[in-house]
Amino acid sequence: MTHYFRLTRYFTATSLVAFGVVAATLMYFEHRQSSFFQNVQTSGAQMLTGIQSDFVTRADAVARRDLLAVNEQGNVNLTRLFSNALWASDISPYLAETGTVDFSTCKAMPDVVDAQGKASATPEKKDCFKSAGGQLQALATFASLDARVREAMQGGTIFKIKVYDLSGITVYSTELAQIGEDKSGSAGWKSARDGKAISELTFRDKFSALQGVVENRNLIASYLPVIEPGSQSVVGVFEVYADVTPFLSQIQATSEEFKLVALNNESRLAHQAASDQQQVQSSSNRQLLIVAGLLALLYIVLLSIVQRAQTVIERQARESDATKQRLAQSEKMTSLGQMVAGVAHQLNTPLAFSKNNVQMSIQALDQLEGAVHRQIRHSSYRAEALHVGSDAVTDSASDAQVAQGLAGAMLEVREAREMLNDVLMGMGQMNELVDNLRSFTRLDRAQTASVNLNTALGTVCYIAKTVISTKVRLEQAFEPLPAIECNVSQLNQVFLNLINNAAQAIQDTGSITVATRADARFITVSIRDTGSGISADVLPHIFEAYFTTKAVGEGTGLGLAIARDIVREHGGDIEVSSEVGVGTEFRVRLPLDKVA
Amino acid sequence: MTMNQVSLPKVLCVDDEPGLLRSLRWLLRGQYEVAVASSGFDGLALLSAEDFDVVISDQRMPGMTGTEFLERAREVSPRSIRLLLTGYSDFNAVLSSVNDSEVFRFVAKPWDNQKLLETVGDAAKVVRMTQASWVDFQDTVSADGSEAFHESVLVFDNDASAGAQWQASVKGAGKLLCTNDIGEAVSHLTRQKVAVLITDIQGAQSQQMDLIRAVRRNQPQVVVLVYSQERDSVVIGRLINEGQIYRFIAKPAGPEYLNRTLRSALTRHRQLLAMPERASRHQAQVSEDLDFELDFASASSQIPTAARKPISGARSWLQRLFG
Repeated sequence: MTHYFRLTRYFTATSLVAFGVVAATLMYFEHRQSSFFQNVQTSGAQMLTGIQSDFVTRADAVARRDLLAVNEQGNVNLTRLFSNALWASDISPYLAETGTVDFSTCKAMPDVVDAQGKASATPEKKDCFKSAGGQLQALATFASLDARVREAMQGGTIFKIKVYDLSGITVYSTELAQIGEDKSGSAGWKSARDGKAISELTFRDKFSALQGVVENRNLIASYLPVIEPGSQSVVGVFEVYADVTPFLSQIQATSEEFKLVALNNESRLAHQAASDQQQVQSSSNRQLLIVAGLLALLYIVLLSIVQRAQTVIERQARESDATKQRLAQSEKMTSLGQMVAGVAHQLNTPLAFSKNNVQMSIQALDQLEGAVHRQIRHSSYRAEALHVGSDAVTDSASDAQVAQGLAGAMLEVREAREMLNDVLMGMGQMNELVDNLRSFTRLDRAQTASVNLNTALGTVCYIAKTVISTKVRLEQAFEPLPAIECNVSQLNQVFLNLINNAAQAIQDTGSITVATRADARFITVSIRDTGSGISADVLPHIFEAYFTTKAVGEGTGLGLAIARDIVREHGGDIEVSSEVGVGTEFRVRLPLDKVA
Repeated sequence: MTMNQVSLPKVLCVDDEPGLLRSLRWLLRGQYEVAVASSGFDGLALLSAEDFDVVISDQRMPGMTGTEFLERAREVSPRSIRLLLTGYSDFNAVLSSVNDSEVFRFVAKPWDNQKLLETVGDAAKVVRMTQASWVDFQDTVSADGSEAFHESVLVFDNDASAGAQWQASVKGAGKLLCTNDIGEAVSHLTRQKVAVLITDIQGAQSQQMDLIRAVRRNQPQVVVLVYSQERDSVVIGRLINEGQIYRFIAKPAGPEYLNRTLRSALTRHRQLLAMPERASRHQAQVSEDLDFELDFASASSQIPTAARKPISGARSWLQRLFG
């Protein structure tokens, strides 16, 4: 068998590689997309965290600043209210009186400068100021002022009030020990002296307040300019300590709450991100699965198409092989036929004149026989007549001898005539053979003709007898048939093939019966043998091209395939029934009216 | 005896096989004066030297084929009757023997002595009926082949387009009768004066064959043309022997050829009318269709009537009309 192009195999290999590449590419892109998505989510989360913490920090700072501003304003108002209320009765007289205490000596005392270049008062200087402060407390107006201040501050959130004069000396403090201190170096005091209130938030773990010593407090310390009522001139500086611990803790609580919310948000976002990621992952997995499924489906569809194409290719190749073989076969038949026709022509000429001559020789011998008979009769008559007369014994004897001799010669002439008759018969047989060969090949006849199949089958049987074993009897059982239009030489080939097959199925002795019959629509030619039969597993395949049970080189396996093709071209069909050990029967059915 | 010998018909036999020539000489001597030639060229030389009544030639010879020789013999000695011997019916040879050589009989080798003698006898009888001054019919078709004619031409063809083709090809036609029915064809032949019958042929046992044979027997002045796709040399051989057809035209043919052939057939018909004895030169052999007769007789009881109807139908028609 020739090797056909293995379409399915190549397709499978190529498409698997192609699908693998496509699948890998898809998976790579899916992976890229998924990690990109993850990155986006992570950076989004980070950004949110940043925004939230920034927001919380800012909110805290803003709250503190607001607190400071609100308290400062409160302190300003309070101070103003306070100074306005106490100005005439207490403050003004007290301030006037403080002028009597001299601080200039204390101020003149030198400062010490430490390693960082920062100047600080010496203990002596501090003591000097302290003693000056003691003098202030001893002033007549101090007591009433102090009482009034303490009274006014009772129950408020103000922990401490200090009053500085324009030279930075603490002229009054609710913490009495601080009276007399020099704060001229303080930035807050300087700012307030210049007319600008300034506040700061400070934490004190221990603070001596109006209400006594308090611990862990957030305080707002405000330096406030003291404006003389009725004028715009700064006459001193107040330092007010207000307790904002509850506010601040509230701010801190709010801030904490914000932080919690932010944290919650972050964790929610993280959760959402994780679930999104998972969803994206699962959806991409699903997509991959669908794409893989589609690819598999595509592969299956293509594979089925390719497989069909493969079978078509193989069938066409087989058919074209069969056609080629058939052409070769028919070419062989044609050239054989031409040879036979040539031989027939060459034989016909010698046959013609030989037959002619033999016939004429027989006629000549017949004439000779007649003449000799007459001579014999004549001689015998003469011999008898002479014998009666008994005159010439010698004449009579010689006449009798002549008659006898002629009769002997006549026997040989008769034999010769019989020989010639046999020669004539032999030539008749040669003639019959030539005629049969010619009508078998039909080379000088039309391809299709209206013929009586009995005549054609007679020729086929004649030819077949020369081929098959003499131990096989070939019997003919022909019923009268109408003539049908057919390609006689092709049908001859079919019948000869069937008879040859039948003869080959017969091992030793047996018979082949060629029978014909006709009904209203079909002519049936049956070729039945008493051979070995065909087993049931082989029987369905016998008409397939290249199927053969013969040894390699003995049969092409095309005979029956070609036979069936020829019969089908005639609009008929060929069928077979067989029984192992009993024999096989092929029936060729040909329609009387060939319908195209 | 000597007087008889003078008047013996003269036969020329041509074959490259000396054995066959001797055999023919032995067969024919006594009744005929036999001359032999071993090639077509020798045969032509003999023919131009003396008159022969019958010329018998083999088909397959080296140098010049039998049909070529007979075609030239027809020009050299138009009065002679020509017979072709062949061992192998080659289609082209057969076709040429009708159209070019106009042979009287087509004889297959090996022959039956008695039949060959009868055939030669028929030929000799025919040739004796024609005068020594016989001039073969001349093809008098004018160059353009378009002059009008008044004779009836019958086209009998199952294929209707054949009639139309003749109609288109033949210029200045008189009456061109077309039919595909045998009854109508026979009725035309008996009622009209038909000059030329143009028919298709489908096998040796077809109704057309019967019609041709019947026409040949009953109306020898009708010239028969066969226009057919038939390629069976045996069938055409029988058309010669049993139908003495004038021409066999292979279907399909060009209009020019059809026209010329018909004109030539008309001329032949006019000559036959002018000299009825000429018709004997084209007398046909009685059918010896033994196969046919046998099948016909034995099958009549078993074969379904539908299968044999065309044959018997045609037969009865012919029998009734031609008696």
